[in-house]
Amino acid sequence: MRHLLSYLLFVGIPLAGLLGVLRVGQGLEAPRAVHGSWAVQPMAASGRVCTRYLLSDADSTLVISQSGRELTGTLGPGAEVGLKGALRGDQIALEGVIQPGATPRHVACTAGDTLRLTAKVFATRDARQIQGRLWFPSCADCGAVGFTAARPREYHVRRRA
Amino acid sequence: MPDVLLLLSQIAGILVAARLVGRAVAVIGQPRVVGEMLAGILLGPSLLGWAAPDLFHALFPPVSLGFLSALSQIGLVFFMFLVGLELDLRLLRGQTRAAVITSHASIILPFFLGACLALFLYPRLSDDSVSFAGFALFLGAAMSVTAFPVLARMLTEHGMLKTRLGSVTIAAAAVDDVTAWCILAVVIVVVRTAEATVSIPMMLGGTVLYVAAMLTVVRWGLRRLERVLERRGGLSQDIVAIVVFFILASAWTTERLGVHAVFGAFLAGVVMPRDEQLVRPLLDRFQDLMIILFLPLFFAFTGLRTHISLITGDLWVYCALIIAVAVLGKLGGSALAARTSGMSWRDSWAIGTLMNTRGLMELVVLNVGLDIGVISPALFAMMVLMALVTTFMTSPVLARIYPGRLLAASRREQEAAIGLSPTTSPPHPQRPG
Repeated sequence: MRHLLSYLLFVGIPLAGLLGVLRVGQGLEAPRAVHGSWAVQPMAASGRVCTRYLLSDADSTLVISQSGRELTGTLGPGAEVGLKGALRGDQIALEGVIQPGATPRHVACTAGDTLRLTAKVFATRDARQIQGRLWFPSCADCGAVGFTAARPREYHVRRRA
Repeated sequence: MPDVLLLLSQIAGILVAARLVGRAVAVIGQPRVVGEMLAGILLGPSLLGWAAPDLFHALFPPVSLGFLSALSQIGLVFFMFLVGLELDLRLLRGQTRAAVITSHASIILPFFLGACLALFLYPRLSDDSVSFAGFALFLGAAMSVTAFPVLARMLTEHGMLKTRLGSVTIAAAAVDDVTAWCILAVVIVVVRTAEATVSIPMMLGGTVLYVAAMLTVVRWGLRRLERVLERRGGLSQDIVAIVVFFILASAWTTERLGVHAVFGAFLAGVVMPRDEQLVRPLLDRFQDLMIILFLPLFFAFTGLRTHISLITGDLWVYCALIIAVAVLGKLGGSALAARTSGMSWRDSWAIGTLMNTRGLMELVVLNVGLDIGVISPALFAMMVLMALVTTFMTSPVLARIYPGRLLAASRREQEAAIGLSPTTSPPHPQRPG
């Protein structure tokens, strides 16, 4: 009898509790998934744009690693800049510093400057896209460049069960 | 093509670090495997990448990690085969009531607490590509893991294996070992069936059929190996080649079914005949290479994936919470269950402490979780720290619960007692867990 009670207490009750937890958890919302490799396309920009070289290559990618709302990533064809930031709702905000030597010579005001990226996530049933802009806040001569980015299908096929 | 010079340099660096840190922690009474796990973290971005970024990037450039990953995966497949091979299913039969309650409680209590923790962590550390059920079940499974091999080695080293404490612990840990892999397989099915790209009938039906075939037809077929062994008088290279092919084929099948290669390898070990002429020589042939070469590679690969820098600010509080829940569920749950089964408080705490050892097994589970995308990189780093802390704390806590003089007295009592025979033979003393 004592063993039966022990078994109920230490196995039966937690097992029932587990089912309850799984039921309660179904209502929880997690941040939108933005992790993965995004193929980036620049949009038309006027004036001098220092950041354009990060987006101009056909292989230019934004790689995002996600832990909840916390984001880290890299940008550029050769991952020239490391980024860190957060996701708030459907808004991505990232920033990073381009290391000296990682930029082309003709780009004047990038090395050591902070690069900012803001973007909005658009989710449809079959695809996820982001649209945003990229700029150097401390470089008054440089304008911002807009971009769009899309992920291959395998990054957004998993759905809430 | 791999850069052979770079690959050789990586392997050499990993082996040296593993041996040095392994020796260093042995000085403070820790199992060598703890040092090897630590060496993997030290070689990763968390220490080497932070302290000497140029050296780190020269030694582990991102393009080279694919080869290191492949080697560590192969090592993991063979390691899981050894885990299955050493699993003695006789331990699961004829258990005492204390062992039954302790083993079941030591799985379900941490599992439940892990799922409760998921309610808090899911909105903070996951994303909407993972279902809550998959996340919670994985967290529960990761909390309920016990490192059976390292636990068995500790019991042997402390002379506890032939005591009641030892027999209850070893039986409970054996149940945990089997259950944890079964639960993890279920979790993978839950997570992957949510993906539109995986065929659910193929995954579920195929896995059930495969396990059934392995436990019946294949096991029966493998018994022929015993007869071949008898005829040849020992383990020949041909038989080793057949076994290697069998391990790889089984790992390939479960990977193809969408479960994970480690399950196929584990199952291959479980269904192998238990002939001493086969098991011991196989262990002897595989173990040295596994311990000296492949496991350090796996630890290093895990370390390269562990970014402790991702744990910042509040995330350290989450990390402390994860460790506290892991210890409370496993140590506390096992101890209370053992106590209510009639064991003394001292023995109950000792059982809880031993069951709380997660070791290498936890790293295997966590790597699977990261591979299938059910845990995020930051959560992976926190769980790796939890695995290190729970493994590291076992020896000192056990020494406090059972000081040397008490242990000697307990051994004398057990030797004087009648009918307290162990339920198992001592496991191989070398393999880490």
